[in-house]
Amino acid sequence: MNKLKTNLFSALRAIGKFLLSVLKHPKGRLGVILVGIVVVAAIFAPYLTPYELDDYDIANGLAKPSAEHLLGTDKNGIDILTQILYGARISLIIGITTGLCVTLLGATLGIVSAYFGKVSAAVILNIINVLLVIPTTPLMMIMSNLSSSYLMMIAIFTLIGWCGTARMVRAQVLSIMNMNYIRAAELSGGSKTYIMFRHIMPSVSHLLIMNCALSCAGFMIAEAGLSFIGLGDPSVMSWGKILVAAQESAFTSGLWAWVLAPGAAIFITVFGFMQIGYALEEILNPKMKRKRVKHRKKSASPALDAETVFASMTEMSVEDAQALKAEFEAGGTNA
Amino acid sequence: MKGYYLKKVLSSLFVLFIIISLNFFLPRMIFSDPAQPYFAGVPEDAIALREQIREANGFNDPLIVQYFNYLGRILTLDFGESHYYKESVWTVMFSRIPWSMVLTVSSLVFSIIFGILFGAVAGKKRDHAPDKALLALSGVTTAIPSFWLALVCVMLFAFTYKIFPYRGAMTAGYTLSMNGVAFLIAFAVCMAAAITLKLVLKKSVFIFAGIPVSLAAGLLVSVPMADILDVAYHAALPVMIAVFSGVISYALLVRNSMIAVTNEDYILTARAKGLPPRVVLYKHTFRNALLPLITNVGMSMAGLMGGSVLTEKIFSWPGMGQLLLDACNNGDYMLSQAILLLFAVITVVCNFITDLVYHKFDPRVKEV
Repeated sequence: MNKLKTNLFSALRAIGKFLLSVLKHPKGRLGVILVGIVVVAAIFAPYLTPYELDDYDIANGLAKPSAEHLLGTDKNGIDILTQILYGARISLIIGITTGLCVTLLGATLGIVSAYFGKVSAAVILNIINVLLVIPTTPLMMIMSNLSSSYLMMIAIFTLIGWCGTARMVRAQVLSIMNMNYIRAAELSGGSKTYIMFRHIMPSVSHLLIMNCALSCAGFMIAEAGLSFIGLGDPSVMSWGKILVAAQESAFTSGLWAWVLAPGAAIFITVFGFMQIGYALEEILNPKMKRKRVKHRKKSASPALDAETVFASMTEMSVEDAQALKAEFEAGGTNA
Repeated sequence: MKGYYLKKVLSSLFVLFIIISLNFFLPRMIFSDPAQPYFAGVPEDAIALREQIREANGFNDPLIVQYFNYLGRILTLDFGESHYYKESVWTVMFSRIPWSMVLTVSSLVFSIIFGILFGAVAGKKRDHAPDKALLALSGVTTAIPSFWLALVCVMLFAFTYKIFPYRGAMTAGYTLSMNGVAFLIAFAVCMAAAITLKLVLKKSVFIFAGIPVSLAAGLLVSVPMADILDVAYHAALPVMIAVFSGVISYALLVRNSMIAVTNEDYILTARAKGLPPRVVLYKHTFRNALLPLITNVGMSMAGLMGGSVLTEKIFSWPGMGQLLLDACNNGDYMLSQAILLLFAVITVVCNFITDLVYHKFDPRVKEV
């Protein structure tokens, strides 16, 4: 019991430390703030605005931005800001769920295809080949005839979108598969499933976490696009849908806020997720860390600089060797 | 080498077979009744008539018989009739393909040209101002949904300042007239010239450059100048938006590849030989850095076809994307499945050509 407690405690502390390192990273901080704003807007939408999505007020339709309606109203007099706040919900739900599903499915199939024998590899690679050739947008358009619910959209995105992640994971797994620690684990009798979860998963996890954040962003754009061409869930408000209505009536009446605001909302969310993704990449990628360490070592021990070695080999002063190197790095000699 | 291509052809055929099968099974999953697309205009309660249609189109046969009948029809390139347009699917598609090509090809060409220029400037030296600018831009532009950008541009340039037209591919009332014979003659003459040049100078670049040049020459000869200008005027805004969203990714690709090539041993050799930096940069680094671009262009050619749905919708451009969208909204399944298959065929063919071209330009892959 006590052991479990300490384990739990240390796990929590590790997670906390990780989250803190994201917040400390400048890109991560920016991303967390942007996404945080959108999440707050989505959760507290009913409290942030005095209007509802069905507050018809046709007499006050197509109103310009004012103190009552910060971004104006649409054809039916519904407040645009309210629509944007509620639209954040579906965007976040679809983006995050699809991102997670795609990453999980892609990671599992990617590892299985690399590590579990030739048959599974052949099957999965062939499926990937087919998926890569099928034009995604048209297939989604045809398949969304199936059902217009947003759950269906998540399912379709996942079914089509996993192959990129799977390919990336497969390449990574293939490159580490013959490393000594995997060999050692095999020799000491670890089962394939055990090795997959205990040794391979952690070594690709940095890729997965980063990929998850980036694919969340990508699927949010895709969702907005699909609902813009009229394939979204008709029962929920989404940013793409606001833009459709804006295209119909905002252009001629010059209601700039109506066109700009939903796009800005999409941009803020997507940009936030991307920044988190880039920050995670820099924090988690062991190669980037190693580079930093190497760099520090090099500058700490100038005795091993190439110029010094070169100077000791030839009869040249260290300064001359450094000048030669600088000249070379600047683009060669004047031959 | 031959084995490689044989394998490639077989796998392409396999992929197309899967897509054809998908086309067969999808309507049986999507619609409650697979014969749904055939019932256009037939009232709900005309059960006898519906049964007749079902029988006439073979929907009462066993599934496996239907499947092989379907395969047979597709293999003889018989896509049937579009139920919305009341015309053969081929006729409907062929009236739209050139319009899509105008948009796709011109935006691809401009994005590649500007992408290479920008990428080369940025990749020349790491962490210099252009490089930093490119990286910062790429972080921002990937987060901008291009259809929103298109909407803002339409509002700005077509409504607030009436610089560009906001819809359509030609001014209303115009029809595109094209002299087919003139096109063929001009195309043949230019191709013949290109082939002669190739045979005389022994450089296959002439063949690769000859195809687009001959196409352009054919179009210039066969279509009246006023029409070309009108279409160009209408295409300007959509193409600019497509270029804006495409150019950064190409630039980034060229930049990354230039930086990777700079670290290669042969660049070190070139510099050690004492070649002037300019020669090292343009003859050694830049040329080799363009190789990954070949693969990328081949892949994106097909993606552009499918991805232009949003642009075509915003600008009411009469292309394939718009056609597919209408087909989906009208339940015109015969048409939408043909378009899906056409897109897949284009992708497969583009991939294959990309492979061939890549082998031509990068002899290193031959060893594999």
